[in-house]
Amino acid sequence: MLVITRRAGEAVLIGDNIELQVIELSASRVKLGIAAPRSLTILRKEIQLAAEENVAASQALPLDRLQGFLERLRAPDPSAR
Amino acid sequence: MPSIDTPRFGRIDYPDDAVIHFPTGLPAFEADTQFLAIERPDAAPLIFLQSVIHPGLCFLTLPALTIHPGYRLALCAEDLLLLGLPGGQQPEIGGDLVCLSILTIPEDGPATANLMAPVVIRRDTRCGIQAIQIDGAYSHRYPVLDRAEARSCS
Repeated sequence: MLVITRRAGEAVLIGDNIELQVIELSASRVKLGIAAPRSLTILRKEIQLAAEENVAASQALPLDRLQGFLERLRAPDPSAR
Repeated sequence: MPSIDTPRFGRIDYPDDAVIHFPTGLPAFEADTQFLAIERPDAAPLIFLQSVIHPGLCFLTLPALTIHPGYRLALCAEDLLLLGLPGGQQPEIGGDLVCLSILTIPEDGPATANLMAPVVIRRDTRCGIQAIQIDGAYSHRYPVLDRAEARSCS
């Protein structure tokens, strides 16, 4: 990962047609402006993570794995004493 | 009464008012805007989120508070608006506000819950969303079974 330091108002160019600008800075947040072709998807990373988890979670679960999970879920917690 | 044929439950007859509407679907499943929340005594405490539009799609969930008793919602303004909740304050889980976490139970590896992006459902309006928590306090892969591992992985 390339790590660059920018001040508010400064920008970074990525490839031929992407510009990332730091618009505003505060103590806990940075406001970014991204200029890129419409064909490129721009997503907050957490949405992509949620999408990937949903795809994994949507895989049909065979009955034996479901039963095994339920047994373990219902078992009393040995570490909670 | 409408019905769907599902791989998991066979044929399900359901009244129209049992359908929960997800106006934006779920991440990676934006076209799935209608779900049924199904509980079966032999599968308690799981709650199945069964798609009405694609009967082959069925998520396993647990109430977030069951997985993490101290869990609190941190919804963005847009999500509060989608749910028809007042802006400027975080809602409490309970009563008409249900909060579920989607489970991933892989063949290899621990079963995990996505606490970073809970499913929030209003029972009174039959409206639901999968919200990304704004404070990043919880993991998208929170271990559900191993308590010791869970304690180190908020």
